Amino acid sequence: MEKELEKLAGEIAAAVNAAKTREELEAARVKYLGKKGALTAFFDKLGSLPKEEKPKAGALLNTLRKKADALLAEKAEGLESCSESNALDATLPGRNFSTGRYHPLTIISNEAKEIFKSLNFQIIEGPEIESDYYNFEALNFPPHHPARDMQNSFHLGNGMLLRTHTSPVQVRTMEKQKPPLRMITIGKCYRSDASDQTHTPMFHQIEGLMVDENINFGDLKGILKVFFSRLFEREVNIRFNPSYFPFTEPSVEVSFSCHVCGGSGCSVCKKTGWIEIGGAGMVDPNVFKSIGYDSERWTGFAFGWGIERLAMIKYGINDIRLFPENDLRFLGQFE
Amino acid sequence: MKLTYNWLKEFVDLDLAPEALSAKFISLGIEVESLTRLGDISGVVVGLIEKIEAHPNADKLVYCTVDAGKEKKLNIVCGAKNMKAGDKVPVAVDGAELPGGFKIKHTKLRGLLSEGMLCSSKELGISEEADGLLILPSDAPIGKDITEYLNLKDWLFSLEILPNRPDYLGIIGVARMLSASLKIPLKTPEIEIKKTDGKAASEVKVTIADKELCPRYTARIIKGVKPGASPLLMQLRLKFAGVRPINNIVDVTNYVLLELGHPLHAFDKKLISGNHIIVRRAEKGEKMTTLDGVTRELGADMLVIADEQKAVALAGIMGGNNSEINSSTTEVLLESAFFDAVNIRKTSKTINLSTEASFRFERGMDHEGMIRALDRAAYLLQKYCGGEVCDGIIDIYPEKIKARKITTRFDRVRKLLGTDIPDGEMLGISERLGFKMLAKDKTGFTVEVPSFRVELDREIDMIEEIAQVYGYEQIKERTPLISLTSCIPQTSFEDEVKRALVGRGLYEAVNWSFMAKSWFDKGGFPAGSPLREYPEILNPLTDEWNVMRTTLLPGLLANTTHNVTRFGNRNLRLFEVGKVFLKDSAGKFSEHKNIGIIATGLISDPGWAESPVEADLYYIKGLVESVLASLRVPYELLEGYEGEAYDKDMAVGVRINGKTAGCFGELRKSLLKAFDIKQRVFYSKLEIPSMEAARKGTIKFAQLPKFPAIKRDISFIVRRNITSAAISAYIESLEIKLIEKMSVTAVYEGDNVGKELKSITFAIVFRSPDKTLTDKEVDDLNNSIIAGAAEKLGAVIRK
Ligand SMILES: [Zn+2]
Repeated sequence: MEKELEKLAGEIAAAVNAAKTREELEAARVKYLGKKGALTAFFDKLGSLPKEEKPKAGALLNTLRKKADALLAEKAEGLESCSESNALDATLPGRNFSTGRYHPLTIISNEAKEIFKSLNFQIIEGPEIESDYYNFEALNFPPHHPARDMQNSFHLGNGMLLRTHTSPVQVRTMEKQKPPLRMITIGKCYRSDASDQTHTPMFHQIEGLMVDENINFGDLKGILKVFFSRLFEREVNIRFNPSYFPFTEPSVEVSFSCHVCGGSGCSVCKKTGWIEIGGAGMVDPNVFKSIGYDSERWTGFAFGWGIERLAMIKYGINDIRLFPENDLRFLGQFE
Repeated sequence: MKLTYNWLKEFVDLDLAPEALSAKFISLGIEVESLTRLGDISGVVVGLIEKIEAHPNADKLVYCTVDAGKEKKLNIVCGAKNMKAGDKVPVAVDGAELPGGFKIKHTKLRGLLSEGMLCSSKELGISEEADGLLILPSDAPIGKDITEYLNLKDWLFSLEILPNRPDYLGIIGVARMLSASLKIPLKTPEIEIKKTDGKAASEVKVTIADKELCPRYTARIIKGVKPGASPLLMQLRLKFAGVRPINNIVDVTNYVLLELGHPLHAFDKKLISGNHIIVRRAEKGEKMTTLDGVTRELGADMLVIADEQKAVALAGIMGGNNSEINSSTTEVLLESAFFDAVNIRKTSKTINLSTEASFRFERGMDHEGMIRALDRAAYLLQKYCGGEVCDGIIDIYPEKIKARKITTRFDRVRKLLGTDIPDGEMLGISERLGFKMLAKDKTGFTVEVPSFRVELDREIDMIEEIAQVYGYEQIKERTPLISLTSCIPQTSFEDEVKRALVGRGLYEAVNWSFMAKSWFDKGGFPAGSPLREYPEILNPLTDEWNVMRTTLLPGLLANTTHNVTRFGNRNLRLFEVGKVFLKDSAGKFSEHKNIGIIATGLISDPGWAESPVEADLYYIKGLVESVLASLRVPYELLEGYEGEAYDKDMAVGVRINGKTAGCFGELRKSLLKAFDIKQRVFYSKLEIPSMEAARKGTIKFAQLPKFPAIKRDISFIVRRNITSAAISAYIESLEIKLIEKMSVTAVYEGDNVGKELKSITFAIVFRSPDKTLTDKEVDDLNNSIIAGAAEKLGAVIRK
């Protein structure tokens, strides 16, 4: 019987092993452990054995039974996890992560701030409701000068208006601090211009100012080159064309060599190789005079341009009116 | 300002092609708005209208027989009115091509075959307005190509002139700069006035009554003029420049204005009573009718040109119709004057009338160049209008305007520009620009500023002049030496606020700072609402934007409406950080930086694996509390916040430093309805300055606990009006020091607890800082909580 049991143990192990499905495994169980199974038959025979053989045979049978049960259970577990992995559809989308978004104007502003922070510029804020003095007079716009027509302002009464540019912050900063000075400011500006694809009556500007001994026109070009190269992640060149702003002289219109084509001409730069971005210049001595800086000792430069324009160039946005609309389908694109 | 390439070439020997010239203009700071090729026409010839008949099928059309030099006469249907049989006009024949690629073919027009088209100057690309057919001189050769006949092959530049360069408002000024920059000769316009018997001085007397407002007044008298049409070339050029031809006399004044930049005015001298011109201030309330037919009431600060009885012109802006050149004019008083720029600008703004003349005067004119303009116009009147120019100029110039002098230091130029531009080059540039060299030495030079450069009087002005001609491309870039500042704040509080909100899944919005006053009525805000203390915009673009926003709500609410109804997104979690504006009772304005948050629809992006959860009060509460906590801003919540945007009992106030500095809650239904929103919307407002002022310093690390914690759950079954805060207050009142933390983990209302009751489960964490607690110790503490619950809260503890 011992031999027979050994043989049976081998058969059971083989049958369990061979089972590929739960059904086959169940069939194997029935075959050996079922009511009419081969192993069950041995138990049935136990009663007819001689008394002295009974304990030993019983122990053998029980051991085999336990072994078989364990084998079946182990196999069943294996089949189970196997069948579960067959049922898994890995093509289903993963769980959602509801992530937020910065407005593209914030993204660009933050990038600009980071660059200027790394150049040791302070970041300063100023009021949006301004007096005529800070918005125009201190910036060398004489009263009744046609230069004021370049910046149509919204008036609030009491001599106050909505600032038409961020330049008043230059004046406010210089009033509070002695040179040397390096600052930028970013904020909303307002001009009473009708909306079109490139104009809105409210927009954001970045403005910068650097005052020190020996600051020259070449430094302005150098700082702008560093800024635009870092912002567009490509070394660009700076081009100056003459321009006019009452608070700078010489005044320039700034262009940088196209970050897309590198200056050879493409659709982004309208085949010119250059992208016009904004104004800059050396601080006009009259501005220093109204602040009380000695313009013989201190020289400086200032620059400013639209954050919207930067974002439009960087992301290829074709209509400035998309920014204040806050359509989620627009905002969602700026991760 | 508009000018053509060929016209410019009459003033400077230019060998740059139009496109290259365009680039040159930009490098000189003259923005080129457009460059257009003219005469881009083929198949248009001079034709003679032989006969005009009515069109049988159309009242507004006529049927013309035209000799265009072809074998056969052409029959052409035409809608114009200004021609007669015998006129010569441009004819676009079959196959002709007009500007914009417009092709002419034989076409049936209301039943009659039209073998071509008779053209106006608009159709030939000469002017922007259609003003009937272009009638050609009677000696125009029939069949001649129109582009050859009119010399149409040219280029039109539209230039934007900056306010500091009034000298560029005449072709001569632009030519002068090109001459200096390109080192090419400048050509002066032809002036050859014949000697006559008449003496200007004996014809008219001029008195300047206000020499502040009119420092110089000059005039010439031209007799025997014959009003008529001006030469075609002159008419064409005026049209190209956007000026409508009127008659030969007026056209000459406009033509010279465009050429030399100085405004002129021609009076019919016989209509000047007393032969006396008086330049004076208007009487208050004095009325005059200007050439545009408008009768204007003048103020005492406005300057007029008058005779002994009446004002005949609004000085520097527009003539009066009482002295206008007309078909019977024979004698002309030609005025070339110099007026105070600020005064002209004020008057022009006050009466809201801007003309070619006022635009120039308010930018400052050339008090010497005005003589040449006068002479040039007199010469052209002699040449084209049959006029005889009386001898002499009437020149009333009470106080000679002093020439400005500027001293420039060579080293200062080099220092400011950061270039090694040599001394000699600076001198050369100054001279080429027309500055008269008064003195020079090793350190610098002194020049006299030419009268046409009205904006220059400082060394810095000279530096800019030199730099522009020297070329900005020659400025070498350099990186300035920057000294490091030890203390610069690395982040701003506002940046941290935005990061906290974006990190919690919100989108950032940027809205207009303007809003509509009517928004408050539409939204049902009461008359005395503090939100109505808005600064008003005195000159708004539209009624939609006539006040400054006092709250971020209107913008965020509009975003909600648009996203839900138009952009197809009903799930919205938006915030904005921006300023709101107030005007106090004393009229003082203030601005305040706020956070506004809107949440509606699902609180996370829907997906197959997530069960959808709609925004509710607990979403906005959790958001606000976690943002405040992450920013280390201590706060208290205040139930029953009374806010106008919320229904009663739907909002909670946020107190910071003992002051209400924010709120959150569910927006009132009536407000949502007014803005077409049909779903629940939750809104919060927080004031940034209060938050920033209250925030605690840097993060402080707390030692990690050394001993394990034991957690117990207690479910309190209480009446529904017992709040969770009441239960936690009860537990706190027991002052059990070993409670480290407690939190609500479940709330249940339903059959299992009975009517009007609810179950609130608190998870309580016990921990001792100096030993491991035993189960028994914790059970004792737990039981002490349970023990008093019945008495203090009327609670039953669910086992
Ligand atoms: Zn490009």
